[in-house]
Amino acid sequence: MKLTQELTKGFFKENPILIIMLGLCATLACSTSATDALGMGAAFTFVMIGSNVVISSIRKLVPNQIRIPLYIVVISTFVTIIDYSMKAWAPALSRSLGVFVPLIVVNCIVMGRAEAFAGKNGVLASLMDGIGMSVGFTAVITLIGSIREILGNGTVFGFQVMPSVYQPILIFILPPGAFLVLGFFMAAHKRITNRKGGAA
Amino acid sequence: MKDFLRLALILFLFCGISAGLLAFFNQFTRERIEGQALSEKAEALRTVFPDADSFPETEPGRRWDAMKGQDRIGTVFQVSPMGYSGQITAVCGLDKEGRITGMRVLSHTETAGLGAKITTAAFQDQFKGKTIDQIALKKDDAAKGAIDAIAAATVSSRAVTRAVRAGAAAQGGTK
Repeated sequence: MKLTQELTKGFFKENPILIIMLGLCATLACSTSATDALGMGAAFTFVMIGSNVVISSIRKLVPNQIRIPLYIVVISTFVTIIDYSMKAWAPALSRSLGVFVPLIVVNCIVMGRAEAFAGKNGVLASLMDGIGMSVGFTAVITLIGSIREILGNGTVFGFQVMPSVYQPILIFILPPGAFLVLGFFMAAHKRITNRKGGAA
Repeated sequence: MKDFLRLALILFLFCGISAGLLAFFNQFTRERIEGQALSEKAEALRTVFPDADSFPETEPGRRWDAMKGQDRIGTVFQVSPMGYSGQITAVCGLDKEGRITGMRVLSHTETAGLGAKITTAAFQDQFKGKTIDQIALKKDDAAKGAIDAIAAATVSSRAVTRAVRAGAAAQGGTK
């Protein structure tokens, strides 16, 4: 079934972070803790699904020459809505994500999916694509956030998981740690894909 | 020429719809967002001066009287020193005997896991009950200093400590 494929391709085969490798700015910057990462994932999901659906439904009204500015208007509308909502209902999360929520406007995954998929496909397929990409993004960023928080702070989602004698490896919650963990994720993903390819 | 008008009109239309939507949404959330900021500030004032019950502003956003009923029992002031990687904002309460009643860091951009520890209770609670003379890092003032710097974050610790000391001294009269 084609629709199921559109949904599941974002999980692993075309994972936005590990394979398409877009939106790495948010991935690197907002994965210092599992909570921040999940918050970023949630904000991203709202924008991704919303913009994919709207863009695919207006795709026939959009003249080709001005499609990029129009996409940006749609995306930034959704971003502003989620930004205000977080400020109103989740001020602590909004403060710790800081400028990276407004920056979803220029998140290349959202823009990339609008250009590569939603602008050319139907509403239902775009919805599936949006959900798939969002799940793939949120899962990976939350995993990276959890690992960085465990190694770098001894906690996950704010709960102490490491014994108190554990000396946190600070570098993991500093910027270089983001690159290290992301690198290991990409390597692992590559290995799994290669194995599968070899067997087939 | 005609085409360029058509494109501009379409873009204008979409921007108009988007602006309308956002104006509506802004209306819907603005009060809540403002309320959040205010209640956070009020909460911070209460934690740095638990004995007081009202805080009339004496200098907008920077200084408050700590009142208990009709009596002024101290002052709450805000300081905003430069930390290791940007401005730190903190509020601090000072009673009439010149003792710090509490200190809370409101916002900062210090390094996660190092300087960011200035927001922990372990660091902030050290200020409580200290006199102005004692507000100094132990490593800076071995004789009187009573504040332990955060390991590997001396710059952040020193910035907060010095600002609180200077702020308290500037309140004057309450030595």
